[in-house]
Amino acid sequence: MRVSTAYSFDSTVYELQRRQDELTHAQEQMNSGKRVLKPGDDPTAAAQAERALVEEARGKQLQRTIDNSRNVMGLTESALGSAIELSQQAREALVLAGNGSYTDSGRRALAETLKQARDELFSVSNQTDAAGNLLFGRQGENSARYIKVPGASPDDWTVSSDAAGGRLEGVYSDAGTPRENLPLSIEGRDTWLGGSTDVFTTLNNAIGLLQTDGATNEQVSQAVTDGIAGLDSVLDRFQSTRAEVGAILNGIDSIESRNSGRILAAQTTRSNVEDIDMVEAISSFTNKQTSYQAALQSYAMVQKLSLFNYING
Amino acid sequence: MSSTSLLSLGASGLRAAQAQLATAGHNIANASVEGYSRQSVKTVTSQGMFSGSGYFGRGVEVQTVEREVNGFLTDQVSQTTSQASADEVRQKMLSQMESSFGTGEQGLGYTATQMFNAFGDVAAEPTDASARRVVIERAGDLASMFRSTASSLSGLQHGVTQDLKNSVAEVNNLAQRIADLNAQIAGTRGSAQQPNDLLDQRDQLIQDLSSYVQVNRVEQDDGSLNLFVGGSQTLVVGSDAYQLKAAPDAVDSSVTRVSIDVAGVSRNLDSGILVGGRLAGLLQFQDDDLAAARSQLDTLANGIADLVNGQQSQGWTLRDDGAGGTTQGTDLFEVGSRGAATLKLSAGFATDDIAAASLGSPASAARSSNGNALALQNLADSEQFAGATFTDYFSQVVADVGVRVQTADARADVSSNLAADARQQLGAVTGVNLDEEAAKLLQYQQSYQAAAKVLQVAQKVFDTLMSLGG
Repeated sequence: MRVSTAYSFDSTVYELQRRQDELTHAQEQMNSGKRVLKPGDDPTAAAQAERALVEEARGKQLQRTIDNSRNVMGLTESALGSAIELSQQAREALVLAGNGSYTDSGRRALAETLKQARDELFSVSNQTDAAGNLLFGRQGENSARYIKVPGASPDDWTVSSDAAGGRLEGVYSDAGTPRENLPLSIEGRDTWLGGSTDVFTTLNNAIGLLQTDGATNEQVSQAVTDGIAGLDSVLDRFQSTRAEVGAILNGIDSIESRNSGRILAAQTTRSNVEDIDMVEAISSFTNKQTSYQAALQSYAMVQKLSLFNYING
Repeated sequence: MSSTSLLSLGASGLRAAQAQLATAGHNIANASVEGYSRQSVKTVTSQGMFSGSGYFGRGVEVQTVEREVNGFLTDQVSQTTSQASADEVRQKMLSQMESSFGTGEQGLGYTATQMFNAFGDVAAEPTDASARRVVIERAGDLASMFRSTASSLSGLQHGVTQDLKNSVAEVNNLAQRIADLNAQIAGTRGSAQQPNDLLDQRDQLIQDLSSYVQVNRVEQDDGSLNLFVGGSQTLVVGSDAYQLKAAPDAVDSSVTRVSIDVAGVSRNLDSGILVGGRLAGLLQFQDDDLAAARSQLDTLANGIADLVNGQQSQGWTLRDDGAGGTTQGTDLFEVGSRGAATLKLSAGFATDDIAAASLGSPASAARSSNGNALALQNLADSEQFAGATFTDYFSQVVADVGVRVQTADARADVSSNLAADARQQLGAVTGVNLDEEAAKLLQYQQSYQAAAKVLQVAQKVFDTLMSLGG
């Protein structure tokens, strides 16, 4: 077939440019380590990578909520631990007070112990986390949840709270699993003020009697019995709330392990669809380099051939 | 037989060889001129002269200079060039559009997620001003990313409009030049000779025209060519050319329409009618690809504004209502009639205006409830975008653009190969091959030398005769 000289120049130049373009693209991919540089390189992979990136970002946000929740629940757990300890100290003091050999002044000393326990329990009930948020019942609370209601004397007060508040929650959800709660506080009203007599009233009643001069042994033993019974039910509530918090902490662990699985899966997906297989990339680059070189050499060789070179004079 | 007839034989050979050498020279000179068809001298043997001892040849005559021509292949080149340039321009525009949509951490999907996540941080600390500030920053980032994507798309539209105007001007210019050539070619009709170079020039102009708009040609008896665009709309008739016009659309002035005025009637030429050429590629990009991208972007922008604003109104803010309470949430985003291009934060929206507490909790609890902040965070899962979440819809948009680019790449690849093949085939027939011309130069040079030798012999014969007289 005839070959038009102008066309053969044009077409070889076009071919060289095309090969150079391919070589540049292969080099770009190797430089960036990405197989998909633009959506057009692989639309499906680009969309998958897009979703995986967002999945990862959301997983990281959830990790912050998980950490928050764990911190708060850890603090709550140890606050309940101190509440239990304080209640037990109070119970021991009450048991001592039941000993008939105590005088008025001995009972007053025990009443002081109870007061101290009561005051500390009150401050535990309004304990906050590092950011100043209440551990017990925060949702819907503007200020200290548990308020002293003054009684007859400065030492005599009860505690009340306004309407029950809910838990402040962080929500965990991902495709396929139902939403789960990561509490940032627990509803503490039942714990602190639930039952027939709450912990403060129980202690108040006992303190009142132990401070009374000349109380009869019957009165004392009645108060001690009531107090111990009250404190036992208070302890039950603290224990069960503590168990609930413990269960939440366990739940947080399992949410966290699922979440790190989710983040890892997202990172893996992204890397699988986007990242380049270096071995393959290098071999394909070398391939393209060789064919470009061959094209350049053959171009130079072929273009030197012309009949005019052989016509002399 | 006379010696003078030998002289004229030699002279006719010389003339023919000279004409052939000149034509070979012309071919060599035009070897790289686009659209040039190689020419050759057509020679015929002169009628012999009768004598008693038979017919004696009277040499050679140059009949005409022919150009190699192949109407089918020329047409093929025009059609494939049209398709290739339509595909090429669309592919170039699409790859620009592809980079308008950032992906990964520069993408809308990621930025929106950052905003949803920031609502999550507000849920953890409903009164924390810095967590609230982050929401506003992220929402601002998102709005500005929407605006810059929209402005990059309207930049593309602007480019398309400019390109359409320039292409239309070029089409009009080429059509006029073709009409002028038609007149010149028809004018040479009187002679029996073909005006080769004018014909080449016209073919080349038609090919140039084809890269802007695909034309059908119908040859007339007088040698002029009539050209039609979009099937049946007349562009060139004889020495008259009609004008294309690029003007803003009557309804949506941001897009450009191409029309042709024939006898005072304006006909719209859309991408369905114009099947090939740069104009068709640009119109298809404008009406299909760019329009889809703009509408998808607006869907995202309007959707996110509606979602977030709607959820905002479901909560209590920290803003004082002047009566000791707080106010209900107001719009975070403001979006005008132009969708994504006009998405911005509501004027004066401050950290206190984020409605973190849900309306279900008492207004007094605005400082310590997080129900609505959680709901705002969970908008990330809301399937309000054609049944998909924001990020899923966005990743579909990315995939859609990617598929368009991929398809356009493949098409451009195929059609440019087809066009190259057609050019090669035409070149094989009509193009100049320098080796061939070199061989012909040698051949004609030898013919010339031989003819000159005949003259020399004739002179010697004549001299011999003359010396007899001496």
